[in-house]
Amino acid sequence: MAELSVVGKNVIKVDALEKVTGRAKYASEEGIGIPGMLYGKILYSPYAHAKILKIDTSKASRIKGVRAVLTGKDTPEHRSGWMVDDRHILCHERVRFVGDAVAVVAADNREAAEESLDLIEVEYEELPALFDPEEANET
Amino acid sequence: MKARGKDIVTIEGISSGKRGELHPLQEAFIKHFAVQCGYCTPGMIMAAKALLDENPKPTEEKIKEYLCGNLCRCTGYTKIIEAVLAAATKM
Repeated sequence: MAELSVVGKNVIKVDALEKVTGRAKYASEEGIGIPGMLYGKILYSPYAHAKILKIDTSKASRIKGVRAVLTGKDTPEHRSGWMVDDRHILCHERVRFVGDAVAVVAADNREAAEESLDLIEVEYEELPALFDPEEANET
Repeated sequence: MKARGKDIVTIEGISSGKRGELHPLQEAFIKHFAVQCGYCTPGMIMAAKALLDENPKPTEEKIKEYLCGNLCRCTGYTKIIEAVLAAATKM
């Protein structure tokens, strides 16, 4: 068999030099990105299971530099997932785990996005949640 | 204030030979594939350098002790420890 150029050989990682010398840049660093890029922040559910009664984004939208504040109402009925296609892009009427995405902000800079996110008001009605796999099997 | 009157060296300052030659730890990290995403690499190298400056022939246990404040979430620690051991033989 013809000798292979890479398989079976020790190859040096292409970006190893930049990384061991501290020259590599990461997404969170200043000066990274493209002109006009927006910064996104996601508001996550603090509850394992709850009904979303109301979301008020009016204060959040008024922050200078905020371009968009979106909630489930702004996203289509489309669902996707890893094993089962059961997740909305943003939660619609209910949140189903701590960390379920409820709203998203896009802004000119990170600070505006964070400030805006803090001003999104969500009213939840907490619902019973399952924390035990055996209990879950019984339902 | 603990740093007052002290020298502070960062990753950019250890390959300061005339032609910017790499420190043996940097060479070893490359050669032993101790770098993956690279986020933890400067911290790992500087912690390892502090160790080798004090103790040029450390045991594996000593290396683990010195690196315990640095988290790596991709290569794991085996390659990093191998690299530090290899660098120690070159210094």
